[in-house]
Amino acid sequence: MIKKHFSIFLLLLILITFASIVGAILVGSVNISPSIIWDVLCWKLGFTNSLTEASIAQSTIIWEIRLPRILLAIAVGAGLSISGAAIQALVQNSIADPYILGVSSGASVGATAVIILGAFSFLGNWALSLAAFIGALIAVFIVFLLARVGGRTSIIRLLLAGIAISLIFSAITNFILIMTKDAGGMKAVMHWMLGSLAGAKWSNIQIPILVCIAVFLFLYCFTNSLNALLLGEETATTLGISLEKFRLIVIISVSLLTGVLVAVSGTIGFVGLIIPHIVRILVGSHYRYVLPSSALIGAIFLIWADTLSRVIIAPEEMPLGIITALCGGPFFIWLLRKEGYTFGTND
Amino acid sequence: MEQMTKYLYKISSLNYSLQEKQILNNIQLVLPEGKFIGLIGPNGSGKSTLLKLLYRYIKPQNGQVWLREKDVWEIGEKQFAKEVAVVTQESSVAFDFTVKELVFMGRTPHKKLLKRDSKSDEEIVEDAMKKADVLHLANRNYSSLSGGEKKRVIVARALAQQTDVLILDEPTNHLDIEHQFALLDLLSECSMTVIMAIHDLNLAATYCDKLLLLQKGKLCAFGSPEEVLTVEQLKHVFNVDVEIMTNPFTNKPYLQFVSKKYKEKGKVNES
Repeated sequence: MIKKHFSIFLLLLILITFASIVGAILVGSVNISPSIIWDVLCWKLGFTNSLTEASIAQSTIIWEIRLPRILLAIAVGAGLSISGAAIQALVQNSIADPYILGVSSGASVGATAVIILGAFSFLGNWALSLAAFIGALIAVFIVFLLARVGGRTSIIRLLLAGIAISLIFSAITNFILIMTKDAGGMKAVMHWMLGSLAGAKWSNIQIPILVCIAVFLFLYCFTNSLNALLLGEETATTLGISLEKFRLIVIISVSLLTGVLVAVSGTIGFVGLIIPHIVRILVGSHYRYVLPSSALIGAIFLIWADTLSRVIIAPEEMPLGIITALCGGPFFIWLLRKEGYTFGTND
Repeated sequence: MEQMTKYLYKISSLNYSLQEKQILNNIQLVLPEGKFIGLIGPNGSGKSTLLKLLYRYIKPQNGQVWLREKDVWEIGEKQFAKEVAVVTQESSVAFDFTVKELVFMGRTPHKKLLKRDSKSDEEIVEDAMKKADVLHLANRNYSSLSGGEKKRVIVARALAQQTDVLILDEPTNHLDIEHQFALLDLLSECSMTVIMAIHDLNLAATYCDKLLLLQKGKLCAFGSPEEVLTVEQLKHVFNVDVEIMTNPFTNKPYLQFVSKKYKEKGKVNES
């Protein structure tokens, strides 16, 4: 049904995304009305010369705080969802999420080193993101090396190596945490590990947004190959896919994207796992439908999850990872129990 | 001078072993174009391995496989997929697709990056589904189909690849008798060269122009069903006793197997 009118479905999702952006700006401790948003937007984009309705404070809250944060939520939600969808094709298994190759544990080591040990302090504000990103890539690189046997990438080794490296890197993170006497630092690390978009600024959201768009377009070029991957290694090869090359492409692009996202937002669980599932219920498994739908639904989901995290225990912030797991977990269990939903034909 | 016959595959001194176990042993073979070729032999005789070497999924340790004057490993995956379509034994799919989506994947090797499905793709896919008798299932989910329907969908996908060689690994496995015949009827009506591993020797005798008999990784015989399916050869390779008759409908050999128990008792009418 949806597939027949897919462009209408996409249009609807885009409209909901825009409505969510507006809605999320409205919610918060400072009261804001839609006309004020309009006023600020016109002024910031240079259509009007001065604010008519909004105050400078409101303009700052909208333009400098809430909007960048929402845009980051879109990039993270969309990015994690398409990464999850692509990784699930790579390993031909629906239990995979974007962190399965060790990205999050590697990033955690980097972040902990910066927060607790003060590493990379010469980089100033960029230290945390950069260290997390480097940690993520190191972890994925090791996992990838371990999974290579005789010039081929073994998927089961990739998964197992991912688990092993995640355990080792988590142990390192925990070791640093246990040894420290800095309680504030520990709390900061906890907050980072559970994910937060509170650090969003115009200066640090550009890279995640650009990488997200680039990887999306890139993967979208390869929808036929992603589909073929789901048919198994042998069949994919007989359909003309260069298995090794294509896997490498997927691993690199997904690691880059999740690495960049983790660096700014910490590890936000569940999104990359459940959004592709929801999308498959709606549009089936064909990646021409799965990729754009995942990106938009993931973005909408994270906009609202982040909004909830801002207001639920205001003025404190609830870590985003807790919200996504608390919303995502029960839904996932419902999905598991639902008859007629298969996780694959081996089910 | 020997007449130059057009060959499709040429295999020279081919060896393949896996973990020190020799699976194929010095295979020399020339397969002609345009025939229906059956690959027979007992379990573990190397049928699947030989097919995998033919469709360049595994690399031989020694020897070469040539497809029309070219080493198969010098042909890229994509080009190869335009020349040879394969129906493997695996039929499970990690995620569910509709039948039409699956058959469309046969067009993958013909697609350039970003290329949308064209009108001609649509026609080719529809035609393939019609030939394989799955058009009425087009919008069904693959996972909801029966074993026979699934096999026919995979065959439709291979047909949509529009190759002139089709390789199948035991396509009649798990199919009921009606669907076995339907599938083989379909394959024998295709104009392409078909190379198929098959267990049922009577089906092989009925449908194949040429049979290739493997035993313990060695090529035992290659020729017409009459040449290959002889009492001595079957006793030697399969270790069964057989009486060879003629199928009145096809005029092809019909094998009546006799197990050890009943052979001792002799024919019922004669006793």
